Amino acid sequence: MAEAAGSGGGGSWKRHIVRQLQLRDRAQSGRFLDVVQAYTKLLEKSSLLVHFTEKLQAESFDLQAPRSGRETNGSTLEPGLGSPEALQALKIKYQGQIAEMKGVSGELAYRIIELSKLLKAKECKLQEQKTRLASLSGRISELEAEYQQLKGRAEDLGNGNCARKAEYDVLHERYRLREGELRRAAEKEQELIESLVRKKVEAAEHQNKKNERVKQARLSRELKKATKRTVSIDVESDELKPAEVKVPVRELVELEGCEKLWKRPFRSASATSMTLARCVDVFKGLLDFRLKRGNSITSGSEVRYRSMPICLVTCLPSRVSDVQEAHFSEVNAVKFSPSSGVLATGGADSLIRLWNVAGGRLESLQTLEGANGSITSIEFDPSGCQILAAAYNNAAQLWHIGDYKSKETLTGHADKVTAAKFRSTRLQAVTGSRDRTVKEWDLCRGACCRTINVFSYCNDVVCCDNVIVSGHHDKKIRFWDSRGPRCTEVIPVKGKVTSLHISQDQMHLLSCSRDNTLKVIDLKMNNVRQVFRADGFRCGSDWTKAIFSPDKSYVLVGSSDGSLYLWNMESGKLETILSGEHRASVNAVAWCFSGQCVVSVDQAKKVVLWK
Amino acid sequence: MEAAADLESSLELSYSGAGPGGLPPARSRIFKIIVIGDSNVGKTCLTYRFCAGRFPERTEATIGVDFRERAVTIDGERIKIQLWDTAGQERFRKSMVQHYYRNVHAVVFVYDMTNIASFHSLPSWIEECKQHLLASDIPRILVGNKCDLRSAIQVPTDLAQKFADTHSMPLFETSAKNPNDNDHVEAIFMTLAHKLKSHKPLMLSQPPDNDKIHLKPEPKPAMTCWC
Repeated sequence: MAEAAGSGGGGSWKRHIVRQLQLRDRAQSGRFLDVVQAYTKLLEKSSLLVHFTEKLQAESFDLQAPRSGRETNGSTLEPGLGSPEALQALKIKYQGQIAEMKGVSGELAYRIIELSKLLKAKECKLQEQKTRLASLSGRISELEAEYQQLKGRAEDLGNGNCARKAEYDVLHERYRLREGELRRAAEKEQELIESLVRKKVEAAEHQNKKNERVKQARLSRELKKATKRTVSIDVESDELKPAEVKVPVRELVELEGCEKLWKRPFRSASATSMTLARCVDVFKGLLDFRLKRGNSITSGSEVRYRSMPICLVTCLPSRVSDVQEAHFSEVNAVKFSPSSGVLATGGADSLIRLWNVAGGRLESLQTLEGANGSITSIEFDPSGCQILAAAYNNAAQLWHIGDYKSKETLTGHADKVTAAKFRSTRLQAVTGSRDRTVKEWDLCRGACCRTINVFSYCNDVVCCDNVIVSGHHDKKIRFWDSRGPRCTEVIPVKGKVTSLHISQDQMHLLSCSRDNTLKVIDLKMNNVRQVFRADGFRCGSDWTKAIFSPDKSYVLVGSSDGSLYLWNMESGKLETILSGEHRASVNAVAWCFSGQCVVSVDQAKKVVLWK
Repeated sequence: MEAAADLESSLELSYSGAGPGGLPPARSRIFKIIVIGDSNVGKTCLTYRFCAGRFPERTEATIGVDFRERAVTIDGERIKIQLWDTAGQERFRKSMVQHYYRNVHAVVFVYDMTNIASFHSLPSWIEECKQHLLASDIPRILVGNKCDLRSAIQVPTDLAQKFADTHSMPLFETSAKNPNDNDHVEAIFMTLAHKLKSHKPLMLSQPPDNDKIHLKPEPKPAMTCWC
């Protein structure tokens, strides 16, 4: 330190030395500076402390001695005042101050309590609020959770709906497609049904046509048969019994004239009848000796019947007088009795009914049964007490009007008997049948005496003189000689002959045929005299009957539409048409012998009386 | 007479082979019989039973018409019975009705005895028949089917008989399933065929005995009888 300072000039050394001294001072005193400071401070403090201690001692002294209130300034430490009054005053003052202080402290305590209450309350409240807050926040979190949940669910539902809608769309689409298919299938079904029905209709038509063809084939075969038959048969086969053939030959020689007469019963109204009767009586004796011929009637004379009452005046029938239901089925035949006003009707129900015509009404009298087939024709014998009827069961039957059972049955035909007529004697009858024969019968014995082959279905037969006339299916009218089986005459007509009627004077023959015409044939000349036809007249069946009026001034027939057509013979014109009553085809008509009334019968079971 | 018979038989023989244009020798007659009635009364079963002799176990609604034939011999004559089994449902028959009735020989009306509605519709069938038939004398018969279902019968016999009498038709009650019940199916059709062959009327509604009047015997005529 010192060394350093050495180099400096005279003054520098001073400074150096000073500086060194300072440094040393500093170094040394520096160390102790602090201590000195601290010491000084301590001295101060201690002096203070002594001060204070003195003060306090004084105070405490004051206090202990006089109970006086402290004076805040404390400066009034008056030690030594020590006078009792002053002490007492101080005591009192200090007591008062104490009381004051107490009061104040009490107040303060009270206030402290209150405040602490408040504080508690507030703390409670606070707590409450806190708890509420806590709970509310809990709630909030719950609700939020719920909300989240619900949101989730809503989303799910939304998705579900979308999915279902998609499904629904798909199903709807399928439904539409199926519906379209159903419609198409229904249309197809309809088409199929229609085509099936069409086919069935064709099949039915085809079957009907086939049936018709078969029917036509059969018909044509039968017709062929019929026509062929005519050709192949020559009239050489003779069905006459040999005995019959021989005997008449022999006897003809003997008694030619009278025998001829005898064999031709006349029914004419002329006066020759009387002569004949006498002839018969004359030869009765001779005849008795004769060999009885096979089946013919020989014994006894025959009764010649008087001719039927001639009618001179016929009235034109114009109106319906009575209508009855005659039978249970079609009525085929009707005839008046020549003697009494009795009418006979025969029907398809196999019954013959007798009616009384009186006063314009028909009263049923009797029913004759015993026929076994539907009745085709009826005839009274000239005396009016017997009825001969032809029936479908291949037989003709004879009744006596008194009995209701048939007296005699003529069997032998092979097919329906279409007509049965008495010859002028009531002991002989002639029948025509569909088995292509005409038979003559002996009514006493009920046996057939002769059979004539007539080549075709015989629809009607009439007899007069010694001629038998038959009308046929093959559109011909044939005349047969009653002595031999010869066909003397054939008159062709244009349609199947359905009926024949001989006029009462036996001069004219009326034929009705299926070509809807009526022909009047002159029996002497054997030609057609008149032809009647009319619009609207249709022959209804194969057995429609046409008749002359009793005085031969009119011709009457029933048509298929139920009306009756009446022609005037002289003028040849249609006189009147009676219609409105019959609803079905009229089968037969009959004119009463007095000419007063006409009866018609039809297929609808009715019998109608016209006046 | 004998000669005639011989001739006839020889002609018959000569015609046995021939036949008109292409058809087989139609020797037998054909009777067309139509069977009419409501749907499901048993028309198909009846016709099948008659023609084939059996009961068809499974049938369907007949469309249009079915034809069934059977050849029978009546009195020595060969006859073909052609049964037209018609449709009952309206939509299956509407265009065919005229064809049914064309040239028909007989009509059979069928109803179901266990179904009164089928009985009540008979009048309309009969009316249709009347409108279409040309002749009024075509035989018609009434047949009640299914009489074997005794517990289910709804149509009493007297009611049916009254109805049949009103329309003058004979009534038959039968069963296609058990043909031995009541009237035999075979008997019904054969009876009908017999009647057709002999043209006899089907109904003799009253026996003639009932209204026969016994007349007092007429006074004998004053002529001597030479019989």
